[in-house]
Amino acid sequence: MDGPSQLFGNGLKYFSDLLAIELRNMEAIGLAQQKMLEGMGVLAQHQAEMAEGALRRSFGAQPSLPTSPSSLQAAVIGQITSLKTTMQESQANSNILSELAARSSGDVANILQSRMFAALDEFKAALEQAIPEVPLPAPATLTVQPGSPA
Amino acid sequence: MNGPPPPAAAAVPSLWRGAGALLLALSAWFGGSASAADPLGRFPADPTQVSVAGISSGAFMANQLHIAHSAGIMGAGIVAGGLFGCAVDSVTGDGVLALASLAVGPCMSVPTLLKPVTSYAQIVADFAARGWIDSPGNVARSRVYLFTGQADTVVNSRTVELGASLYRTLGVPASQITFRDRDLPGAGAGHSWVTKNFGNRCDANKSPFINDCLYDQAGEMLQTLYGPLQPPAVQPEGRIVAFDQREFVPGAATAANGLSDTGYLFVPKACESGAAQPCRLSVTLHGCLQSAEILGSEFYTRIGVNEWADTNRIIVLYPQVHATTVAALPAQNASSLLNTNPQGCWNWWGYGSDTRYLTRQGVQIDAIWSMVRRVTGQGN
Repeated sequence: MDGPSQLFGNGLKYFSDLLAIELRNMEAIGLAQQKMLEGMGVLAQHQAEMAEGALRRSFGAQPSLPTSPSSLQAAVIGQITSLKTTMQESQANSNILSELAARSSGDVANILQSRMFAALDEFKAALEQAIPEVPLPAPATLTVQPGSPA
Repeated sequence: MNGPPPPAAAAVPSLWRGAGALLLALSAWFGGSASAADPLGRFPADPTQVSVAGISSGAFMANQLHIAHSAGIMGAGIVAGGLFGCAVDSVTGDGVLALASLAVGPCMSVPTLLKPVTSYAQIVADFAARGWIDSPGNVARSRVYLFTGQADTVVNSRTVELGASLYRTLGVPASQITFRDRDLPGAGAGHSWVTKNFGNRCDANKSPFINDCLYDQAGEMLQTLYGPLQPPAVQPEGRIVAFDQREFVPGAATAANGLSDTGYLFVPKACESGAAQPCRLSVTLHGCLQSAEILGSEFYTRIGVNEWADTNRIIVLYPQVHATTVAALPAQNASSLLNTNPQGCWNWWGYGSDTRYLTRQGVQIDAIWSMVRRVTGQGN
């Protein structure tokens, strides 16, 4: 059996290990928060750039007033083409924002998951050190006397 | 290779042929990759006569290879793709952030969202300053062929035009650039490698993405790159060699990096060891859904390149891509899906977590360049 001082020493070591694990967890959470903020910043920046680009393009494509039936037709066709282009651009921009968001949240999830796995391994190791495995006593040999009921 | 079966095979009952095919497929599944092809050999090829070509994702990769290794590549053939850095969102300290959504959006189908050509030229200058690519001054000496079909619904023509514009911005004189987008039958070419007499209807946009447009794209491309050539062979006499690609990838991790275990090489008779004159080398890259895993030998035997190569002492290297799924990636995590390559494309948007995919350090670029060095007798 371990003496009380050794048990006390093990206990201290265990708590110090737990504290270190908790500090590393906090670091990982901090890093994840930083990644999240960076991701949000990138998203906001892209949204602003996209809005600016859309405004620039819409101001650059002012339709002229139609003066004849053929120019009216051309104007309508031009508007339809322009609308299709705008819809395609919106879809593409939306996909870009979605991918950026997915990448950012993926980064955050990867940081937290790998830290969680490491913390579990560290906790297991600390526990094994604090409470050394005690070998179980060998089971008593069973002997069956001849003639006794099985 | 795709012709009718020999008489002996035709005489075998179809059931047994089916069983035989099943056995072959099973042996390929369980043991095929383990008993991959022979190592890539050395040939009498002139290292100053190396060109690259490709279609679609292969065109983007050919363009990346050309710009990354411009000191060692004298020309590029770009079919329906290729604008350097098109999928790059931002440059970071140790690589780039590239997005699949930029690739399929602005680069392929929404050209109004493409940036001005100066933005892409800036990426080239930035990479050169960081030592990630060869000096862009080499590009100015290149010869370049670009093609876009008027009926292409997969990669917008504007992207290819901007690719041509980037070459001009990098100093390639107009006299060294052939840009082809018209004068083809009907509505023009769909998304395809165009041939004189093989493949889908000219305006098709479907597998195998090889279209019959009565136009000898291989001929015009190779003559743009190498100057006037002898007429092509009717039936090439050279041989096709399968080779092991695994040695060119770190840790032989081909699948995780979107590469197949086996690549192919066309060797004209005049380029076998002991040839009197050195040969040229053309690296020719298939597009998405065109690898040998999907099309068999169709791409590396039917696009018209081997016919010209056969009579003009051109060895043709056909590296191959593998369609990478999540299961092939070394680690499964929350970002795994963003790193796959389900259609077997060359890496032009940074899949496989390769943040240097368009530089000399890119896994696929490095692998292909090591193959080039082997064939030309420079590498190990």
